[in-house]
Amino acid sequence: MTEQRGFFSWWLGELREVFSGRPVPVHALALSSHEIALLEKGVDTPLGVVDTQAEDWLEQIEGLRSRILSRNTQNPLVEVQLPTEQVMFTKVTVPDDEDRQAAICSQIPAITSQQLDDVTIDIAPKPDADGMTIVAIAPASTVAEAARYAQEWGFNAARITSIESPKAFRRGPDFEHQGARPTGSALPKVAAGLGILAIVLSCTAAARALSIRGDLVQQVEREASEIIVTKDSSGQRELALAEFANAAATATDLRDVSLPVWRVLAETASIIPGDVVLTGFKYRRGQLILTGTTTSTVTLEEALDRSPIFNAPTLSSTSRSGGGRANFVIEAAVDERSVR
Amino acid sequence: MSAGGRSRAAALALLAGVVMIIGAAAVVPAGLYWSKTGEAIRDARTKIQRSEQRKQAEDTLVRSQRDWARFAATPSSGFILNSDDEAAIAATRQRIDSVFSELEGVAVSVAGEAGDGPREGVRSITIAVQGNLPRKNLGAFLTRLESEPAYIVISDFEAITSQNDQLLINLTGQVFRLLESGA
Repeated sequence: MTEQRGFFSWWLGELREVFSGRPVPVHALALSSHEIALLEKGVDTPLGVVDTQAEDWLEQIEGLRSRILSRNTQNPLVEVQLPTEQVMFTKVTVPDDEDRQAAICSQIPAITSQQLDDVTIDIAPKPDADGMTIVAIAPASTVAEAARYAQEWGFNAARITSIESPKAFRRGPDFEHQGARPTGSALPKVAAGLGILAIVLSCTAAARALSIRGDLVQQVEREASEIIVTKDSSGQRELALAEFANAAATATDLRDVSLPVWRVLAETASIIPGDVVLTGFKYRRGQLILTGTTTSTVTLEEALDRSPIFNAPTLSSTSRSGGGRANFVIEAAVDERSVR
Repeated sequence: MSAGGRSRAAALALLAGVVMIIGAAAVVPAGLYWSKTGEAIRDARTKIQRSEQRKQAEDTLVRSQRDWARFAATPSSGFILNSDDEAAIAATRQRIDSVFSELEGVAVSVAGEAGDGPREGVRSITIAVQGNLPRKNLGAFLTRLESEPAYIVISDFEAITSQNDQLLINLTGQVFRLLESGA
């Protein structure tokens, strides 16, 4: 338990020191009539105790100082704790309608039988359950001596308080003295503030993002729930459409793949020699039969053979006609693929 | 922590550790919530996406049906646009007579017979034509029949010179009729 208290005292003290910008003492010098103890705040067991009656008590104090000097080359920062008999705690009543500080100061001479300048006081921040305000009072000379002694022994008195104090003083009374610790820099506080602001903004942004995400989920789920799933008949409809499209393309398809007779006729007219007189033109799918007269069936046959449409021209009959001409019947295969 | 290890850096590191632990305590539940809501969003969006895809597919299907029906109802489809076989035969006969007349020829006979087409949903009208035509108009005659809708696919064709540059024409061909409009 003691170790835990010591740990948290150290940790929170370091953090307070970092973020307050002011050095916060982690160690304390507890003064009493015959002894000086060096304490680690929050730990009951002292780091060392020096008997002021000993001959080498100053060397012993230096020994204590060296124990905590290793972390800081400057004089160690300490809290000086006055002995109990040097501090008086008293309860005073402060009327609601009066200035708190002034009202208490006006009561000090009556309480202590001393002038206000001869004492140093600290007032508890809040009244107790009975509405009474606790005031800590110490002789000003004692406070000044304590600070001076600490300085002489090589310590820096960050604050001067008492060994024991009521709970109203959370960290003990704080008696003002000469050479009080300096005001810290504002930069650590600004940095801490910015850090906290960044964390708050990040948390706000994250919460906003999660909220929007939640809304988005609801929206898409609502849209999805509004979808009416019907029986999918598109397959049958596609099949019916394919059948209809196949039928609807019949006439154009057949026209595209059939060799039209006009083309056979045009090819024939373009290739036959000029002396050929046709008397008959017969085309049956895949076969052409020409009848007529010519001066040279061989020339006609060669002309048909050169055509890309006609193949294997064959004279099926020939006979003499008048004037050096011959009657002919010639057949040729027609390559219908040539139309494509 | 021992007194020897106590330093300002250790105090700040400890503070950072505490802050991180507190942050983690807040971040972990938030992360779990984020992950859980992410799954819900993904599932819902997948459902919505599928629905939209299905709707787009249906729209595309409807558009295609409409386009094909529109195409089948126009002459460019190549079909003869009559509602029954008899009307189709009569229309074809009238068209052939008209072509012969325009090209200074005479249609001697035009016979038609309906039958099953080459594909399902299609009727085939087989026509047999005899007629006389000037030789000079043979090309135009064939072009009119084969290249203008309703297309006639000629399977047999014979042109024989008769007299005075006239041709005796015999042809057999097919014209097609679509059974359904597709609308």
